[in-house]
Amino acid sequence: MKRGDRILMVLVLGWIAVLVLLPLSGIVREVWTNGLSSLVELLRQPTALRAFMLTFWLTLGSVVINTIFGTMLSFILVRHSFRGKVFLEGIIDLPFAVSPVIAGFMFIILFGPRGWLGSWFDAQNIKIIYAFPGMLLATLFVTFPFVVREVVPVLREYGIEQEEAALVLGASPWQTFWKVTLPSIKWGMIYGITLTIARAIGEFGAVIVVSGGIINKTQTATLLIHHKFMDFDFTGACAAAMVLAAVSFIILIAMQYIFSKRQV
Amino acid sequence: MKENKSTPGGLVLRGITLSYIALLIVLPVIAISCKAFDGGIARLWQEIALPQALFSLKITLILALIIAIVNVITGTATAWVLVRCDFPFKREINAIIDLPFAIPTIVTGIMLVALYGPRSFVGAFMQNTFNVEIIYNSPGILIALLFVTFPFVVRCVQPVLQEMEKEIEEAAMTLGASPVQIFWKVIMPTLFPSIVTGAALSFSRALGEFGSVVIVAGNIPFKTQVAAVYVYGEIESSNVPGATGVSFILLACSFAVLLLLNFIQYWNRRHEEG
Amino acid sequence: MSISIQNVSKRFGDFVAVDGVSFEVQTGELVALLGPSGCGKSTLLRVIAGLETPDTGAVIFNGVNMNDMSARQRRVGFVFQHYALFKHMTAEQNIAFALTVQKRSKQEIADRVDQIIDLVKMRGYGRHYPSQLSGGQRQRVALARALAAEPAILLLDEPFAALDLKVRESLVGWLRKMHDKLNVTSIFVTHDQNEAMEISDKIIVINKGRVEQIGAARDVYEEPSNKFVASFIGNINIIDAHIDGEVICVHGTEVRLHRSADCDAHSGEIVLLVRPEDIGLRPEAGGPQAIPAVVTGIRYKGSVTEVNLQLAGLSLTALEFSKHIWHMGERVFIHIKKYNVFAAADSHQAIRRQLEHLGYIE
Repeated sequence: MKRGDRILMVLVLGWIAVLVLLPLSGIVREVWTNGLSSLVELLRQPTALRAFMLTFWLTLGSVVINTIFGTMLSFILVRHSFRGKVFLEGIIDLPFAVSPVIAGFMFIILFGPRGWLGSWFDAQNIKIIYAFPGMLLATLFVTFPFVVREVVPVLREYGIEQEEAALVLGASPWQTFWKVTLPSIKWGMIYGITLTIARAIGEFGAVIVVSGGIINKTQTATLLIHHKFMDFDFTGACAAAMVLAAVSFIILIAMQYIFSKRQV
Repeated sequence: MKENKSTPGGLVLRGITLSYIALLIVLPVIAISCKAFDGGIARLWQEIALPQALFSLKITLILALIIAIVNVITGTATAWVLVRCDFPFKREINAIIDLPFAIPTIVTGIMLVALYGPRSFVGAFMQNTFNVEIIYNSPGILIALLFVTFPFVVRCVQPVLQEMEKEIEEAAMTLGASPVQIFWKVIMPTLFPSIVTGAALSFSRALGEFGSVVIVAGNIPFKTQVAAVYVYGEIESSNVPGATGVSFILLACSFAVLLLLNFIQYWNRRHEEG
Repeated sequence: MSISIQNVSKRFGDFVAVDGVSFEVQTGELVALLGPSGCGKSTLLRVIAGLETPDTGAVIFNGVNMNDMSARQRRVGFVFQHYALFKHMTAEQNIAFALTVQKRSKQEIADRVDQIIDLVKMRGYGRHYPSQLSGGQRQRVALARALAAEPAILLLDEPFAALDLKVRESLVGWLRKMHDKLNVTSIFVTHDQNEAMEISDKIIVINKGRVEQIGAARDVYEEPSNKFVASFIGNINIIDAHIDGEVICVHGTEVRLHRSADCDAHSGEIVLLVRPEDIGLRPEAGGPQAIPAVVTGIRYKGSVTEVNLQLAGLSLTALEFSKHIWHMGERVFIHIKKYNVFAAADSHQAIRRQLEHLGYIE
């Protein structure tokens, strides 16, 4: 290795160590000092458990809905041609450009009691914002791009010949989809789902705005952490943060593994 | 090869999908944009021109710009080292780069407070020796933003660097170019689109970052109140015009960046085709 | 600029790519490094360019040892198999690159680029990007780029491998014309023997990292020094036989040899190599010494026809001008105009030179 490269390597590794590894060590140290006791203490609180469950349901809902629509969207992007398709590709990236707080706020405006859609729902006495539906919508918004962006390139590269071969051999469109198309985009899809899960679990800004943070009803895991922090229960906040960090870690490992599969 | 667009199945598919996007993505954005102009442009301007609002926008833009520039340097360097160098635990370190993507922003905030807060070793040291507060101050925000935006430039540049044929550099060598000349004349131009993409993504993310900043920086007006936190404050106090006003400006900035990104990708594709 | 390669070896881990190769290239020669895929010829070319360092041996330009000089210092023009054009630069900028890094004046660069663009007949395409050019055009730009700085040596790594057949054919001839005009010492690597034979002054046949034969196209084709060269270049019939003094036995039939002055006496197993065009066919026996055979296959190729023959347990292929129409199952008589003989045990050694007008069975 050339000497310039070596110096650069040391600098970069140092940067990574300080920027990424150090904060990680901070939380590990916190775990060490307070130990598992704080974690057990946390998991005993019913509010905490409900918060984790709510995060779970929101994540599940987002994954299912955005995977279905994301895959459908990938199909029409890659296989169909129609006017305005370029415009559509730009819209997909929109959620990335919107701050989470604004994302939540948008839904408040749209579904609030005097909002364009909100007034109708209010009349039916269906609660959207400050309730689960609103939080789900906000989470769907922020996690929207992931599956689409991962499936599109895989679908593009995979090409249409195999599907045509299946049709010629007598398979119905549905059979072709399940037996030929789906297996080939599987890994791209799974990678997108992994990213969706990570984002949904970690979503904070949008849900805090949309939910109102009503304890036991609309408080997700991230809101729980925030609440405890604001209440000066730093130990509790860290314990909850630890749980999420551990889950993130598992997701990170899964991401690496799946990413390598995707490269085939 | 495109399917015949007039098949009923195809039309239904398109109809359902486009409706979903219209309802979930497009409509909310339009709604908030319209709301921002509820009281006319004058009212919008009034809200934005409030000193507190202006300050939050100013500090947000400046921070995002700094972040983008720093990430260009560190991100490109990191991608270079990951692709060109060999060192122990390379695979693990490569995986760690994605950590900011996988970790919830609020957990990031908590981590940073645990590490640099006034009770911590580093925090106390910095306070006593340099009289510098990291948490509840600009340095804290910078660190948080650097953390969450770190992977963008790296992951954009890495694949391009990886794909670069060795022969291109060898050709430049046989034509007499020095290593420095090869870097600036051959490698950098190839990497440039991906670097700009990464920088734009960093900038956009830093512009809207909330979860980690709200923990690390507190909410001190005129000091650490970034635009996203200001908007949150206005929402909490039910000041809709204030919130929509600043939101609109932030959205406009982000969209401008998004447009730039799409333009770059289009321009790049034009060159690569063939 | 003359090139002298002296006992160069290069290995990658356990794999020996180049094994003790030596040869000379005179100033102004156009030489082909010919061999099958993976035989080490590209590695050898890269060693000459300075892109790889040899484990042993020396690369010498005009008497000066280049071993310590980097690729950048050797001032060699190199054309890569997949062109390696700079995608973000126009054709003109690519061509100008060597001069740009030398910091020549703008005027000088413009003049030289202009000159070269005319030379490679790319007038009007200067402002195009590589993505806007065809394969053949990209190849010409790659060549122009290598020539712009007037290198004393030009190296080309399978320059035509990535092109369509028709484009390849026209570019091969064009390369020879270009070389004659500029008179720059050139080495090009190829696995296509037709290209090598068509334009090179000299062919160096390489197999498994070793030099098999060096010679002009005609020499290498008509007097192959071993079985590999004979079968790699052109088509060949390989016949196992047994020799005893003056008598060759092929599957029971006998052939009497005329011993020429430079023949050695040899006994034992041998291999006869006969070019298809050296097998003459006659519809009826021309005399009591004709060898009978049966036609088992016919491939009409326009000006020539390939005829598969079966005789006494042997399968042979003959090539004749298509003046006569042959039929399947027809009984014909063959005579062998010319063949090379190699000792079977060590088919690297020719034990006799070609023998002409032989072989009527007695």
